Amino acid sequence: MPYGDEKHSLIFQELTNILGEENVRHGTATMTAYSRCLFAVATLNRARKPEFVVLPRDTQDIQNIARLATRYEFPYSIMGSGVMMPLHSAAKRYWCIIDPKRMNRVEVDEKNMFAVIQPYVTHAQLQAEAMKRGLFNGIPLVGAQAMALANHVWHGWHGSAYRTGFATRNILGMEWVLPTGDIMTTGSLAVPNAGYFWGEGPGPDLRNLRKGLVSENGSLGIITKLAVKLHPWPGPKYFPVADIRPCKTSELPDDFQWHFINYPTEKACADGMYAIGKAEIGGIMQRWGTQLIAWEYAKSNEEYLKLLEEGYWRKECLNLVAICLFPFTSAKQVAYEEKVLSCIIERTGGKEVSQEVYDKLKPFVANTLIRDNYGFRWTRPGNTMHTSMLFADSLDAVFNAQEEHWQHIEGYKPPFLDDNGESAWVLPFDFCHSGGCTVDQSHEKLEPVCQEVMKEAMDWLQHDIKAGMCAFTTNLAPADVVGPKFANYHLPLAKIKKALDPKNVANAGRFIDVARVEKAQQEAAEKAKAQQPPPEAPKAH
Amino acid sequence: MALKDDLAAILGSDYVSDDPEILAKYAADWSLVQPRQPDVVARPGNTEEVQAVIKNASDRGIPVTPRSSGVGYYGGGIPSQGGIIVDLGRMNKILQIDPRNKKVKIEAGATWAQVQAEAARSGMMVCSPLLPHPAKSVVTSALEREPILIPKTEYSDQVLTQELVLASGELFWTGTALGKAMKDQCFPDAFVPGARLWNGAQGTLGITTWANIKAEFLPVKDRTFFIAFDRPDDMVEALYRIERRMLGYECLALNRTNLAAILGSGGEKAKDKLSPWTIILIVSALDYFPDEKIAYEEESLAEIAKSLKFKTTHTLAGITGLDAKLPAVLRKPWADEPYWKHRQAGASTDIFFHTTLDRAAEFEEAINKIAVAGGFDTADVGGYLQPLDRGRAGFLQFGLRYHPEDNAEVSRAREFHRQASETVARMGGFFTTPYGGWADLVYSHTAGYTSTLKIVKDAYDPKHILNPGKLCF
Repeated sequence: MPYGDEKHSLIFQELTNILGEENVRHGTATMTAYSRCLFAVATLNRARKPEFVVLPRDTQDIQNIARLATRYEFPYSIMGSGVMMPLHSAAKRYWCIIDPKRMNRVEVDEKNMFAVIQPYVTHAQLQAEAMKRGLFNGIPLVGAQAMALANHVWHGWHGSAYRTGFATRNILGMEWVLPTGDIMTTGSLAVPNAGYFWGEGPGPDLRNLRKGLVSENGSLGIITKLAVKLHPWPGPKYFPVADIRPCKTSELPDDFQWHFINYPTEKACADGMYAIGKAEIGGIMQRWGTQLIAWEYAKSNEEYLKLLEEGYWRKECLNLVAICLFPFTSAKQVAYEEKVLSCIIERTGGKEVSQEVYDKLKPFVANTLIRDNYGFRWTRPGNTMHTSMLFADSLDAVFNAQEEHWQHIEGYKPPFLDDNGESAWVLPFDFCHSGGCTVDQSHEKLEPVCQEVMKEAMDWLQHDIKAGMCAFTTNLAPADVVGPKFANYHLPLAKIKKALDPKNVANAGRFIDVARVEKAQQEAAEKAKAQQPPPEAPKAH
Repeated sequence: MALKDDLAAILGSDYVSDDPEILAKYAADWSLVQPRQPDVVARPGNTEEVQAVIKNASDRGIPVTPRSSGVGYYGGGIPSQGGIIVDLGRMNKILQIDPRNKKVKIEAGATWAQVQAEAARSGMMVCSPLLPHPAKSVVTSALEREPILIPKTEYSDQVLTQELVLASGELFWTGTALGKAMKDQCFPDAFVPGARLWNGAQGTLGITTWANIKAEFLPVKDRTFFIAFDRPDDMVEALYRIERRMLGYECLALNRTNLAAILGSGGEKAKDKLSPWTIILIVSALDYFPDEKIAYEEESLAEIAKSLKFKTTHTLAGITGLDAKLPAVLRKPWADEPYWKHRQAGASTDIFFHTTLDRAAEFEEAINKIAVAGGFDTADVGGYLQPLDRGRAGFLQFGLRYHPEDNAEVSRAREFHRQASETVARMGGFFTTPYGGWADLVYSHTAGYTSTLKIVKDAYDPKHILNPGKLCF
């Protein structure tokens, strides 16, 4: 027992009573395993470990854990694949990590195109079940091993978002255990006999308490079941793949057509994407940064470095738009859309890549994005990575923002590796009604390097706060830190957090610091009172 | 100072009224919701004036009910606890038409008649619900989640960002509009809470002053198909197949009563020749090779028709020119008087909710039974089924026609509405925007949701001045 004080023993005993001995751990080896991840911040915070790891079986178990935590005031968080561990790892004493490994069921309503998933259903699992039924969900860049529920709630930038949207918008009915242990259901699931099919309402849409550019990281409770939209998939029920990683390839039938179009400038690249969005063609469209291509393509670090040295991708694909035409209606749709695409390429000054480049991109990079991808391949050059910028607005705004960010990053090379960058992954949403981009850096996982990386992150956070940028950095910072620059959006949130989580146990300390908000408000009130003129002394009659 | 004088000092006396005749106009709408007269009507001309009015109301603890449209059908703008009506009708500017980012930025009082005319000049449209009243606010339609006729996923979730005046009188923005450095402000989820928290709220969490709304390019060519069905179940299977193949733009189904009303005098005359239900599918194309696009979609539709054994036509009941006329009709607000729902008897009371398409028939049967038991004919009930999000769900609306001058019939219509609402709720129809009596019906069955909603209301409107008496608070 790592700690062994009376409170730890009490919590351990009670967790064991709820879940059974085999589903509660507090040994050093397990605690260490749940404190490690690839990110710089985790490298620097290595000493911080949870005190308990528990494996609930169902919603009732999670309710019981939440009630226990509220009664005995111990903090907890839920962690699926652990991809975003720094946002869910232990931050205080008596921390309990809820690992939902035993909650991995998926049910598909084929006719009405949705799936109900539990927290430990991976994207790979969900996509496989969907494709068997002629349906499609989407795969995020982080990889198919990521948890589908967490990804939909937290962020949800699927490669197919050009057609399927920002995935937090694809959430339907939701079962949500509040920090008090009570259950809230949302959307059509909230009312009797309706089921999971609809997400909004009733009335104001409380799903949105979980939705920003990223979510509140479980600070307002734990979602135990989630219905997500599925979309029509006109492809094979079983997605053929060959070889194993890192040489894994996959093939789509001939009636799916990839086109890779290179543009002379970023502006022309943006114009090309807008034109494609206006024509409403294609099933997937993205702008691939050269970094992304390099990371996804190389089968070894040697090959990666060789192509980097040659400047291969920079020369061939600096402003690359990748589009895959889907036969949603029929094969004739693809023939029609190829004709339209040819006109757009000509009008916007693009050029299809050579056959040699096409053959490199299609099997190793493109097709894998539909069923799977090489998630976190970009950790290979330096053993870790850092998302230095992530941003969403119009496509034009996205291109402008990433350009500015690359200039900023120049000041941090090293420690960031100079690995063929300067073009970001850009993802349009909903036929280009909006779009997002992410800029990622590879770096070595050494402590001094990680310190520099965190410095860069804090510098860029200050930049975003000062400029008034709603972005990844400003979303990851506690709301009370950035809120004063954004119409004080944190003030109502503090009231909501306090009302829903009166003992501040759900992922305590992240998202918003209610005590700090209240203290600031109290000080402001006292200051205002002090500045008021003293009341006049009563006059004698 | 009296309330009216305070507001006149803010807005000017021309824009504040407590004239009983004017107050009476704001006391009711076309719904059967209990009328309630406001104490005063304020008509601000800009955001600053809205802020000043709200601050004044907040100081006094007086209820404020926003009203953006010249018409109302569901009671959302009736001031159920009196107080101030904030009529946003003067705030009707179209601030921007942005074809590159496919959006319009409009003030809350901008109407369908204004916005569609202005957007069309740039070759665009805002996807509209079924024939809205020309005086209805576009922003209100979107905030009320009125379903659009084009069930493309990419066109859904129309509100991108918006500006709000909160109960404190302070300004707030949703999505990327919250960041002063955000150039185009068209991404809805910037910080928690996401933008949709304020949708479906009937002004209870804030008053919207402007919004960025999705807009789409007008097709350059259309082909209209009508598909007649005797049984709703057969129709629903066709809708599933059509949407799964992503065919067409506008796609909706109307029963005989509604279709006749929309087709005008020709439709009324030909009513008996219409089928119980008809799908209207408009296959459209944008700039590039429009004939080829329509041809491959038509071919695909023919395959579905052959498989399900239905026929497609380009006209109905011998009415000529419908193929060419209908797309333009459906992309504009209703232009004639009376409003189409009121043609038959003078008024209509609507029950509308979300469900899955495969449950449409059972709901229709239940509604018809209640209508007949209440002394109405099934021909008095207009039916409308709107596939949503590529057929993932459906919006189902039944409108009972009644004569508003006949008190006995009004009373029976009211009873029909009550019984039908209860039946739909019991069967699992989902009132996503619970108006009037539906609020109690819905929230009394949703303990977790209701208690959290009250927490959210307390956080944004601690004095409960914004449209009190609506929803669950």
